[in-house]
Amino acid sequence: MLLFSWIRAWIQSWIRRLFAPAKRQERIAARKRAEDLFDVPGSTVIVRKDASTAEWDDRIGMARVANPRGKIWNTTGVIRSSSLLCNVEETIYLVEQGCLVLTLQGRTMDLHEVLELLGVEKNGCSMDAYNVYSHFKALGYVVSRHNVDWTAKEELESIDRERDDHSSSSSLKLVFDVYAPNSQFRKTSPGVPLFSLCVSRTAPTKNQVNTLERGSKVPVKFATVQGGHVGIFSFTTVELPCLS
Amino acid sequence: MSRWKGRGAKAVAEAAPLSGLYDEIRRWSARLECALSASGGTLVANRQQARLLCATGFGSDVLSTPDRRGDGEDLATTHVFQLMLEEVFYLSYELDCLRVHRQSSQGRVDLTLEELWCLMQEFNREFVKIYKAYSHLRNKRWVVRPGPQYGADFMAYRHHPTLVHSDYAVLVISVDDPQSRLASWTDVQGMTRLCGSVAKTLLVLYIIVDMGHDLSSPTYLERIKVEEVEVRRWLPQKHREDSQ
Repeated sequence: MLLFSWIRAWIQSWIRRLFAPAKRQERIAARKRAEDLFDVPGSTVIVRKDASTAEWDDRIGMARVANPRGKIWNTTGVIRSSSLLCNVEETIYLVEQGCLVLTLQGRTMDLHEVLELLGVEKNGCSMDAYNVYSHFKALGYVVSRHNVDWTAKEELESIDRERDDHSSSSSLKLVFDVYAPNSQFRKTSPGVPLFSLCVSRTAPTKNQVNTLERGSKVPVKFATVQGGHVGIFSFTTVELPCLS
Repeated sequence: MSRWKGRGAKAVAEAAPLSGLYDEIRRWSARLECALSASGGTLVANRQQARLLCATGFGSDVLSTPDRRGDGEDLATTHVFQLMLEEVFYLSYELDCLRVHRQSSQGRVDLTLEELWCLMQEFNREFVKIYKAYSHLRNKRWVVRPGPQYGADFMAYRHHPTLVHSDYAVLVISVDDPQSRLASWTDVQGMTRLCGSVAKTLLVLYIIVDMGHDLSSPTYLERIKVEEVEVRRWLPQKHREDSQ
């Protein structure tokens, strides 16, 4: 069924009246315009044949990857002891790409259930932060959580991990580290990130910018998400030269 | 003067008016599930519902997944939309087609309309004013889309963005606030020139809030007045012949 019957009847009667003397092609074009109105844009998630599987571990707020397949794992997931673990944003991105099937207690999770993991605060990623993450990943950048090691020998025990949270929860925090697109990226020697990212709905004050830049060894950029669009900004303190 | 995109666009818009499409939404037999977070809502719809939501200009970043329960060639698809906070509330309050829940430490919590109203104010201090502006335009059957790409709060269209260019870039200003926006001529110049460069008119919606009333119920919206002001730059050079 293409159009709801009352809409189809309306449109057909209008088109007949307006385009009566016109050519058949114009009537067909007008009908196509009307049907395009109801087009659903966006992409379809198709699960690939070589998709990996992972089980969501709610205790640590990460997915345990059972059988990693494909080159994506060179730039996604952290290694703890011998396990390959994914954050919620990495997990969702791979599910959207069709590269990962996520299970919970053995049952495959639907896409919208996977997205609901973003609403759980302890998983550490908001919908806004996820939009920023996927924006960069789609462009080929390598993205990790700020100050989180790619590999470590210790097993991950609980949700309160590796984040030194000396700033209060109300102030702005650095969320991601962004590395240059690199097909030879190695988790064992990732190098230095290009910059760190802060995700915020409100524009930063001068003090907030200063605090974040002081606490970071690499440049800091600010990301905002509004109406699904991601905008990245930098606020760089400069000193203009005195000109002669 | 509206700018319709191509022949037949105006006819299609007249054949499928927004009020008719809204009535179709109100007639849905089941409410759609929507997961709420501070960034907005995530909604799941079937194909028919998704087509109607797209035609009425709600949501962005649509992801489609084939329904695993379907079989044979004609797989039913589910579509996942991301909604702004204003869209979530409008769909709940005016079109009554959503069932909104959020994730808390106790698990999934369904929200009543009043709880939703109060929660949105926690997520965004300016929610009441922004929402009043949004619903004011939507109730007049304009299509309201996010505006930050154009430096505005919203973009207002006479019908679907595929049929018509937007008439207005909308800025929401509260009469009470000590003029936080358009506070100086530089601001006015900046906004009007920005709008002019994308061939849109700046529409300011002044929100006049009646203080001393109960903010905890959405019926408060009826006590808020909106005044519409078009801000334009007038060029004497171009109008010399007008009076002759």
